[in-house]
Amino acid sequence: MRRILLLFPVVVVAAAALQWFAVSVDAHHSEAPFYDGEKTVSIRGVVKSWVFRNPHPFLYVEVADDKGVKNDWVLEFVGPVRLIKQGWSAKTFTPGEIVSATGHPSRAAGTFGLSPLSVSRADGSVIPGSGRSGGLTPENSGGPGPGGIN
Amino acid sequence: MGLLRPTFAAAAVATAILMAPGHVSPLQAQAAPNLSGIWQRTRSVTPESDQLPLNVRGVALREAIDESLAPMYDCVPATIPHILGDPYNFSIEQQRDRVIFRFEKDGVTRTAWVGGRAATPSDYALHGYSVGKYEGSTLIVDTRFYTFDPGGLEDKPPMTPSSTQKRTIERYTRTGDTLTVDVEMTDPLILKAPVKFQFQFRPTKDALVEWPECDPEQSRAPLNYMPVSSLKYGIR
Repeated sequence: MRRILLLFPVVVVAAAALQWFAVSVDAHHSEAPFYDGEKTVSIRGVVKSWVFRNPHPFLYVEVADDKGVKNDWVLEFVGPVRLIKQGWSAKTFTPGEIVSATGHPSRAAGTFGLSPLSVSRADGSVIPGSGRSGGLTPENSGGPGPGGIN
Repeated sequence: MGLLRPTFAAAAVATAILMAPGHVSPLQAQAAPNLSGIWQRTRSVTPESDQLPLNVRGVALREAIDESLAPMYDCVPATIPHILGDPYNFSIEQQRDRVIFRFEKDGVTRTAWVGGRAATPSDYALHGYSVGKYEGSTLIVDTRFYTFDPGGLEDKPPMTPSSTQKRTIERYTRTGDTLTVDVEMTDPLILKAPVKFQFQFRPTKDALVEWPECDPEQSRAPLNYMPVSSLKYGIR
């Protein structure tokens, strides 16, 4: 218990640092008007389509809620050039595969957009570059800028 | 006389080579700094929104513009200086009469004409018309005749436009492996004083990544995630 308490400040600082970086990369458009950074949701569903185009690739995922009602969620990623540098392509996702994602939900009522913090395969492996930084590190981002989606 | 013919022929060939488009003579190569290559951004300094020296019209225009008017949502490329500010690489190719800039961002190619004609109003374009010159170790690119751009001065919220009077002067200076680009923007219809930006880059061996096609429908889709009530005029 004592060890957990000692680790707590470290975890808090690390989480704060990650959060800062997650919203500080320069942007094609800013995230805040569209996605609620105060909320985090997790989804799991079946890939319907993967559109790997500019300015932002979209992953369409059919998700059933706890009542069995199916909704089509749309995951918006950072710019494809950044993802290409992470090894992504038009074949990164295949229709029919199961994915899980955690992220910030869209603000408008009745919409099912998601700005992902991470996306995982069916086996639980997290896909590198699937978060808000799109694989950017403080070292290669050229410093902080306005939060958003490049 | 017989000796003159081959000499003349050689001179003609040499002249043709020197006059060929794209050829950089040894003299020019000495005079111009070597900026050619692919560059990766390392630093970006842009003015804070509340520090912009807007005139009353600039303030009013900023109030009038909201997110849904941003040209980026219709796949319109970013312009100088913002195209330098996102974390994408770009290349510089120096030729005798021009400098060609190729950006990963938005797949843009710009040309600055060195020693060419001056800009005229017939040159109005999204990226304007650029004239380049070398001064010491610095390449100076003077661009005028930009079209009106809702995000031309500030391309992120709250967003501030630039008018057809927008003018940018870019200064490219290389010190070792650091390329510094200082940009000064003037726009008497919007600004009371010039605004300065600075970007720094380092060489990279990575090839430029081709910019995939932009989908206008997908580009505009995120606007649907904004509550209409959060838009100034309730219109997406």
